[in-house]
Amino acid sequence: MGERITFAIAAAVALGSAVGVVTLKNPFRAAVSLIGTLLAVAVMFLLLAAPFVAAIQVIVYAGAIVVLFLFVIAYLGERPGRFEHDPMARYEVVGWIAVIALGVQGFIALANSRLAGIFDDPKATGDIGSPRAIGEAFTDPFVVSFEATSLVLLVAALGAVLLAKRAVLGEGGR
Amino acid sequence: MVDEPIWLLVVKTVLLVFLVITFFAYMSLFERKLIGRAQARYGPNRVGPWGYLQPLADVMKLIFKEDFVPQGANRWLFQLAPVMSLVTAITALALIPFGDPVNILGQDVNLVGIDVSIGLLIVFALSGMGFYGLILGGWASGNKYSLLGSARTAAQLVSYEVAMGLSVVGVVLISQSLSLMDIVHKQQETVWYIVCQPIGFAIFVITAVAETNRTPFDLPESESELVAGYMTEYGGLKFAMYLMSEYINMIVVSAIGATLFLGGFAGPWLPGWIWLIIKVLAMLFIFIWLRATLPRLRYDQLMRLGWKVLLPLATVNLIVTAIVIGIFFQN
Repeated sequence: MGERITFAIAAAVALGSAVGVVTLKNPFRAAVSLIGTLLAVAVMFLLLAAPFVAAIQVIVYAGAIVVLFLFVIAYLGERPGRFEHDPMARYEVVGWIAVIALGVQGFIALANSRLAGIFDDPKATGDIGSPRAIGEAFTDPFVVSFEATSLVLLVAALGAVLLAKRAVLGEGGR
Repeated sequence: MVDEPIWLLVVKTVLLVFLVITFFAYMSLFERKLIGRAQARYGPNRVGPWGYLQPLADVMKLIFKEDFVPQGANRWLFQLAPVMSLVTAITALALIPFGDPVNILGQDVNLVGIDVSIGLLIVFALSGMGFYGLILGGWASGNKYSLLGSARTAAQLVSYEVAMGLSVVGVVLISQSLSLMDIVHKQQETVWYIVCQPIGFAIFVITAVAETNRTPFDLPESESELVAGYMTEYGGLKFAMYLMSEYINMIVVSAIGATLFLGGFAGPWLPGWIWLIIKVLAMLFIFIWLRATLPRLRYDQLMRLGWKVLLPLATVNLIVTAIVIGIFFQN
């Protein structure tokens, strides 16, 4: 029972702050609202008995990435987006229809699936969320995808540095 | 860990919070007296015998100051930010082990708030949340100096957090555990990890000074150029909360350093908690000594030290540690 109440609260906070992220006009407030979503997701990881993932979620996403967002927003100053003449505005109805259709589709798909935990209480899956289990998963079954991911991240970081360098050179810097 | 009734947890929490706030008050006096000595003056010596009632006078002054919110500030975040800082700082104390379970008046008591398998990660997560107190406070003040202070906080803390995280992974590799209690027990069996990880310890201390915004890394609150940075608009008790969270963060980071590298509560003859306090005081002395000795870094020096010196050094240290453990200590 306690788990369900915690889940309901976490889900409500996650959805509420997510709505805040997309509706708040001020980018700084939107980023602050994102913290709420990320923390609520961390709570859900804890409920799934994955404390390592929960801690990493807080350290990396809430603790570093949103700080970076806030840093950029604070430096660029707050310029709320102006969409008075948004050319996409006339398609708003289509957007809402798509959202509702996707929601209905997702609901039907979930209700018809035989996934554990939708209509019954799921069984425990054993240890998959502890640091040891995740480390073993990284080194044994998923070693190739793990290394491939780190390669992609390295390429992205190098690319960012090169692009920034070109922009700085273009402005006459060193 | 022994099982404890709820009332005991409450008693322990209240006692710990009370003790740490007292400790904070006397630490500020300790710092002012020590810096006074370093600068060839006496430091506070007027209130009470030898100035030992000075913290009480300071607290009374701050309590009776007007509690205001400046015009143009974001009222809600402005009030919330210092509380966030303080709460995360105090919460981290719950994870620090002060000793093995003891029996007091027939009741088994854990000398640790909570010992979890990922204790170290939770400390990092809490410190990550604590930054928001500084960043949001600076932004919510609606003051350009505060905003600059919070932008600097964000850049500095993100840069140094990476090196700090890498510097403690060596300890985790050696002890094979993320639980602070286990790490201390492993050091009791073998040696203090400062012996195996001297570079790790050095990087940890430097980044700890940067993470707590202390001189020479106090650019977010540099009083001579940014008028105290993110704290410019704060006064009275809210200012006291920021001050308190900065000092409690120093205590927490010293205790973590002592636990990871200096054997925590391990030590001969004396009870464990006394050993931990001695080690924490030694770390705090280094913090204050640095403040009395070094001038503030320039911003580019700060970034260069973080990204071009500490981060590569911490990475190399980690790789060497991993290789040595992989080759010689397979079991």
